Amino acid sequence: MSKFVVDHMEDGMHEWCVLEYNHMIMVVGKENMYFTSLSDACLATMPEELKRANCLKEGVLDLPGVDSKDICLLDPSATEPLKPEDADTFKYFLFGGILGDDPPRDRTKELRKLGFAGRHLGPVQMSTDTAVNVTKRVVVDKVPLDEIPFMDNPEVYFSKHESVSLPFRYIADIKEVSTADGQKKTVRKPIMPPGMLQLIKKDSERSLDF
Amino acid sequence: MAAAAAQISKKRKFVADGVFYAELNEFLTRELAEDGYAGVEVRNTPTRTEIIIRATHTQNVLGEKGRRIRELTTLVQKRFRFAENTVELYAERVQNRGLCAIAQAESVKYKLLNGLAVRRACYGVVRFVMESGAKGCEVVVSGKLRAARAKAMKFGDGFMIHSGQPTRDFITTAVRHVLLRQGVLGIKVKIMLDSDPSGRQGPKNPLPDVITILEPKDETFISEPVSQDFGRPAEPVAAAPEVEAQ
Repeated sequence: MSKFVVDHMEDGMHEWCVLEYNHMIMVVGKENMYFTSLSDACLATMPEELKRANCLKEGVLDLPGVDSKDICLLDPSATEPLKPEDADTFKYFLFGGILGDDPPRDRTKELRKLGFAGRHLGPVQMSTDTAVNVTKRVVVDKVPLDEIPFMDNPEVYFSKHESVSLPFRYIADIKEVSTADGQKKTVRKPIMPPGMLQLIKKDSERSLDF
Repeated sequence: MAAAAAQISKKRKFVADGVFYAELNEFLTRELAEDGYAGVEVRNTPTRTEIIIRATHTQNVLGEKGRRIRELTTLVQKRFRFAENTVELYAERVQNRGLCAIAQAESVKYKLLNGLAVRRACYGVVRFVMESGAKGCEVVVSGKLRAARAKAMKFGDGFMIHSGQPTRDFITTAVRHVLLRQGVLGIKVKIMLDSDPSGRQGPKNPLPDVITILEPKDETFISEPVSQDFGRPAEPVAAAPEVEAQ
C-alpha cells in the first residue's frame, strides 16, 4: 500500500492546515499518512484527530527505515506526469505542506533540493489535500490523471453580495440533480475538506497583519 | 515640453506629451495618495501650461496658505525644465467621490492598513458607492493572508456589465497594491455609473439595450377629409376644400 508523506513547511499548525490534514487522513487512512518536520510547538497544539496518523518531528530524509530512492516528490515543475504504474516504482509519495500563493512562489524547491524523483499532477496548483486525493486515485485506484474530473478556479458564493474565488485546481464532484421544473441538471462542486467553507468565510473577518 | 524652442516632429510631440502625463500622474499618485488624488488634466496654452489636479481633500493639496501647491509647482517646473511662470497648478475638488474608483480604492487601502477587517472595509465602501448613486459596484481583494491560501474575496452590489463598448463608457476601475510582509495584496474597485442626461455624473447616453416605449400621442379628431401638400408649408384648413372642389 502506498504511503503518503506531507512535510509541514508552514510556521505553526494553522486551522487551514488542520482541516486539510484531517481530510487527507479521511481519504487515505491514518496508517498510510505521515506528517514530518513538525516542530514542538506544532505537536503541542495539534488536535487529537491528527495525532492518530504518524506525526514526526524529523524531516523527510531522517525518516526511520525509509530509503530516499523510494520517495516520489509531487512537484509542479517536474517533467513527467504521475501514472498508475508509479505505484510499483515508489513506496512513498511526498508533498510539501504549503499554504500556497498565487502565482505560486515555488516553495516546493526546498524539497526538490533534497534530490527526490519528481512527478507532476498537471499545470495548475492544487491544495495539499487535493494533491493527496489525486495521487491516491492515480496510484491506488489506478485511474489515469487525465480521467480525473477537475475544476479550476471555483467561485464560492456566500451570499448575493459576497463570493470568494480560489485560484487552485480541485477535483470536481459531479452530481445529477432534478430542478424544480423536473429538468435534470449536472452540478459540479469542488471537493474541499469539511469545514473549509466556514473557515474561508471567517477569513474575510480578519484584518491584515504586517 | 520645454523643448518647444526646437521644432519637434508631431509624432515625437505626442509621445512626449504622453510621457509627461504618465510621469506626472504617477508622481501625484504617490505624493497625494492620502489626499484623495483622483487624476490630473494637462492643458496646453501658448503662454503657459495648466495642470489641474482633481482630489477629494483639496485643502490638503493646497496646504497652509497655498504652500504645498507652490512647492509642487516648483518641483514640476524644475523637473521638466519649464521656464519661469509657464506652468501653473490648480486643485479641483472631485464632485462626487463616491463615483470615483481611484478615491474608493485608496479608501479601501487605508482602511485595511489601519487594521479594519477585510469584510467591513469592503462592504463599507460598496455601501457608500451605492448611496452616491452608482448603478453597481464591485470590490475585489486578492492575495495571500497569513495562515491561509491565496484567494480573491469579492464584494459587490447592484448591476455590473463586463463586455462591450458600454464598459468603456459606464465603468471606472482602479487598482491599488497593499504591501504586506509576506507579499502584496491587490485591491480592485469597479464602479458602474448610472447614465446622467446632464453629463456630470455619468455618460449622457443610456445603455444601448435600454428601450423606452413612449406613450402614443393624442390623435386629433378628423371630421372631414383634409389634404396637405408637403412640398409647401401646410395650408390652413379653410383653403383645402377649395382645392378639392376644383
